Amino acid sequence: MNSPTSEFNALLLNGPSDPVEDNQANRVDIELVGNDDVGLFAFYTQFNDNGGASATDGTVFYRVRVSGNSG
Amino acid sequence: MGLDITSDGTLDYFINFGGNPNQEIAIVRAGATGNNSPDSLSIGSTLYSTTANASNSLFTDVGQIDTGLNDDLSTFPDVDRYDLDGGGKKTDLDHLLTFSLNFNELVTVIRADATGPSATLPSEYALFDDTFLIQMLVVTSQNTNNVNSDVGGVDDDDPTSVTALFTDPVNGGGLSNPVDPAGIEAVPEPATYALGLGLACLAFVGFRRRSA
Repeated sequence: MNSPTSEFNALLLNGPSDPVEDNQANRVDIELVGNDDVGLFAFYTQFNDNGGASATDGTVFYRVRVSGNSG
Repeated sequence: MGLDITSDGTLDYFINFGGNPNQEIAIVRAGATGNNSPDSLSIGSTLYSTTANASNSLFTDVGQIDTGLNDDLSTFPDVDRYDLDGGGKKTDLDHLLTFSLNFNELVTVIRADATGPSATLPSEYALFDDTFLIQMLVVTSQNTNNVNSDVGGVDDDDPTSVTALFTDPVNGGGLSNPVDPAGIEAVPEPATYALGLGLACLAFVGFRRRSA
């Protein structure tokens, strides 16, 4: 859960990672932020397949970067 | 997270994190609206949910997880890697929300929706597993009745982006390329490369013949 983000895979969203200060997001904890120039993105995933014996088990992880911690 | 299982540009499910007063992680069906642009998002029925707790979620500032990000500022020295929006609407440092989901719960939901006379997914998804590729989107909201706060990869301040399709890379965007559960895009197999190279050679020969 607290593994470094370098161990996650960034999802490129066919647009800029995320422009900051979107008008629609009126709280910092729902304001997605990312900066393609410095390689820090708004959305990452990772998957632990529990060893690969089964193709239907495992744990999928999602990581999202937001502007702050409160409204 | 929005999930486009069938890669048709329309979201099929959401994986939600949130809730008030108790937070949960849930798989929900996409609503009856288009779900193919920021202004057409809606949430449908809940298909699975579990309580969010310390074992399946973490919300903390970036510095608690990633150290040394500002050690090398030789490029873009004005960008604080712990505060990408330079304070933004408040002076908070950026935070990371991480949460997890048992993959089998997603498998169960998708396989059920691809089975039987009332199936909503094509029958091949009755065999859904971690070899299938899906497209994903991230969106935030203050409540599930109006899912429109911030769509990742979309400049929400541009009015034209609100109605642009997630698959429109010029005016819209937001939907990832097809990826496996780890978020890795498929690499074409060698046979595909060979076929592509062969077609390129044929095209070149054809061009030369027409030019002669």
